[in-house]
Amino acid sequence: MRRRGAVRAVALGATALVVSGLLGACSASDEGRGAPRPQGEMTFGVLAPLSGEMAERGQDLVDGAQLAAAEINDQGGVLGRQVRLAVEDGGCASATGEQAATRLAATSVVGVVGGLCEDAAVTAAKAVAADGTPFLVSSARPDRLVGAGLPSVFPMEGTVYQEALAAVHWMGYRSPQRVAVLGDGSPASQRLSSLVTDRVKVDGLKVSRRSAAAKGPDLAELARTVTGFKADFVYWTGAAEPGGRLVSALRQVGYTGYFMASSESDSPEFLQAAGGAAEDAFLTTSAGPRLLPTAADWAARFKDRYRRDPGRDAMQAYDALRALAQAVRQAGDTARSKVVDNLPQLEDFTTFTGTLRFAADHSLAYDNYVIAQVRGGTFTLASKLRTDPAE
Amino acid sequence: MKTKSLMAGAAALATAVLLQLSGAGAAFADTPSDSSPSDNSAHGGPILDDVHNAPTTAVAGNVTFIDNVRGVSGYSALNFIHYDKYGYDFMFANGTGGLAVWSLKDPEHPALISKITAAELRLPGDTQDRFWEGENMTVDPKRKLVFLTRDPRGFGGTVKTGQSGVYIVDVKNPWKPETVIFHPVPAGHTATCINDCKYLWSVGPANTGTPGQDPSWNGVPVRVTDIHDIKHPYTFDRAVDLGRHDGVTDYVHSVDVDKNGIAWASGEGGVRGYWTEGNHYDPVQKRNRVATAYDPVPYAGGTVVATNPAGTDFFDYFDHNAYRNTEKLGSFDKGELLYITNENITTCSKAGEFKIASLKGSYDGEGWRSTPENPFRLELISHWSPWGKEGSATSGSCSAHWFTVNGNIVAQAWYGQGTRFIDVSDPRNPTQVGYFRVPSGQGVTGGSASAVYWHDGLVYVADYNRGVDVLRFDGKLAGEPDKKICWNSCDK
Repeated sequence: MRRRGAVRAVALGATALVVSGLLGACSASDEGRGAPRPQGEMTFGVLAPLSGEMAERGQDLVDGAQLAAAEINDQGGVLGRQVRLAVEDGGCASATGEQAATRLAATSVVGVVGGLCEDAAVTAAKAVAADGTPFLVSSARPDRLVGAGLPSVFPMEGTVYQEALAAVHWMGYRSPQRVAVLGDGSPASQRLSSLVTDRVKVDGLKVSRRSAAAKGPDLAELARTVTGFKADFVYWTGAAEPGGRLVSALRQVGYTGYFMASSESDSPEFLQAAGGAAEDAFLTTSAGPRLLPTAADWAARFKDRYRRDPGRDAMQAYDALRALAQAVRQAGDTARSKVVDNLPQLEDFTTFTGTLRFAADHSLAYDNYVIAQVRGGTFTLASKLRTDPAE
Repeated sequence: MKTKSLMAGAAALATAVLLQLSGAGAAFADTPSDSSPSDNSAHGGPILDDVHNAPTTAVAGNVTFIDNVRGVSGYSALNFIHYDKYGYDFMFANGTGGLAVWSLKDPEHPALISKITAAELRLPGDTQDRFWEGENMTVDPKRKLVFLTRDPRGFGGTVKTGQSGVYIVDVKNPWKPETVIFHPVPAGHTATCINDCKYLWSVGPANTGTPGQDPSWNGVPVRVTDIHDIKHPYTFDRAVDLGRHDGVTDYVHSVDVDKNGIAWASGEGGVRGYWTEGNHYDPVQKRNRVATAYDPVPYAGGTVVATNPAGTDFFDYFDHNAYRNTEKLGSFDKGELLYITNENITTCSKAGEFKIASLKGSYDGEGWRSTPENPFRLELISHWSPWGKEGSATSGSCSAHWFTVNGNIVAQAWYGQGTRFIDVSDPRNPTQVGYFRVPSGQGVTGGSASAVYWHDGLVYVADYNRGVDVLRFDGKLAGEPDKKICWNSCDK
């Protein structure tokens, strides 16, 4: 299960690595043949948990950033300079995040990417932003970051509110008349349920919101609520395993409407618990390379280099580093304030989900939530929920 | 009719001429002189220099010219927002030069207070500083937002290469409008606020062939954007009002919400109304269901038979914009009549007309089942053109264009035929009761009227060449005067 914001803190030593993107890029790509050889260097920081429970995802993040650096250098670097990465283990705790960020700031990096764990990312962002260093935070839930209003910090993930919007917009395509919003009573579930319910009500649809106990929820009772209400669309905001059991219970009592679950259910646990009842179920989830056909070529390059499939942490870090490099190019300078000024106005820059643009509060103007659908027992892409030209 | 060869209102003329002369010749320039704020407490805050072009060549009947203002360019459309904090209205105009904002503290003499130029609206890749062009401009009077609809033909683009969408402009402080976001939309000739401006319907132009457009479409239908949160707009990847021209999806040109909240989509193939809120019977799906902005419930509508013997396949059925009269009029039922602009830009004698149609017989989904083999047409009650009428031109571009309605008087723009006031008290016999037309002359910018707005006892004309003319209709206002003038979004 991928439960953001619920990561345990791990104690870490301050392991600083300096990685030359160029060195690692020798056989990664030939796109840059003929490009001018970079002269000089510029260093970007990478912040990720590299030990403890999240170490595997942290390494995925670092690898994504490395691949971006390698490809940038293959194409002549940035402003004619070779990109280098300074990698810091920020762990998952507030203290370790702050310590790692402080170390990165001391190395005079042009900007920082990464984060992953919310607590570490928030304190790191505050530390990095203190001197105006641009920080593109990847993989971490951004709600607190956006709320902090840090002028040089830009999250690459959508907020909980944006997940609610994704859910409501996808419902719109299905033209439901009566919507049941069900959760497991956890704070995250309650927040998402509340946001979805409020928005659906505004559109004049009938809504029933219910919560089951977080432990041992009575899913049969929930299923009866749905049929009693005559819902034709169910949105589950709770954990993955009970979500799977819920859709199974719903189908058993004859519910024939749509079922959608939140990103909490983006997990094998959901599929296993639901069994055949998972088929056709929808999911609001943040985009990853396994869902996006547009990321296939990139994923192949990644696998060629690292001998494994990339995760979404690698994909976001890859996009984040490229975005940072693009901002430096547009600024024509590594001055932090100029780079920050250019991040909200990247020209002709797209990620694997489409145009990258930031709103005035630095949240993603067009977020990375997509709609997945279970087909043949696996998650497939139903919609990117994007209509911008780069889609 | 009281006919005037020049503008009436000598005092106003004198004022306007003085302003023009003091403008050091800038009245004839395409762009105003460099503007700089100056304090003018009469208008509630600093004002910018503006140009006032006195229409000494005007021909008018039952109309008094009061003032002309130029702002940043000529305009396709205006809108108005009332600010409680100031106690008066502000006028917003958009055109090729961008956005201009005037204080209407003195409604007869708008004072330019701010602008966003086309240069400031440029996007990466644009090759010209030319906004196109924001017809039927829509605003959110509650959140104090202005929406500038960008046609792909703007800024040097074409229907195939250009970028369409909407600029969302925050005008909480009308002296300092701020662009919140440019949101790309695969539609963008006009746009209309729906459901208290929580959604935007963007429409047109002709099919661009660009991503997002079905190759089988002849034109761009309605694209729905959720603007509950203007920082995070979302456009649905599912268009509305498909199959509008005898089963073929075609160009929607305008959306106008009536006083009952029904959104009327006008364009190639007719005018069709939709519920966008509440629970209603859907005559197409044959069931009651909830109407939403992104999945509206059909109400009624269609097109009328062609009236121009020299028409074309396109212009015969190009219903440019429409107004549904929600009241009873004469022998016609409450809500039965639809007023339609049929645009056809051709010789004045054969140009597009103002039409009145009956919605009777269209309430059961007939307009959604029409086919070339079995076409459904609304009953045409009447059609009217200024050709041959008093005060009319005989050459130039003369088609019917945007109008607003007050009581039973339609105030309509007709390009080179200027502004026409048409009494529709007898819907079978529309009658001209006033006009104002500005031919070119020495020092006079000839008019090309795009849209006419009744507003608080005055009439404001968005003119492609002249900017904004402020007029007074001196004729008798037939019918019950409207407390709220409805066009575009009716949430005003």
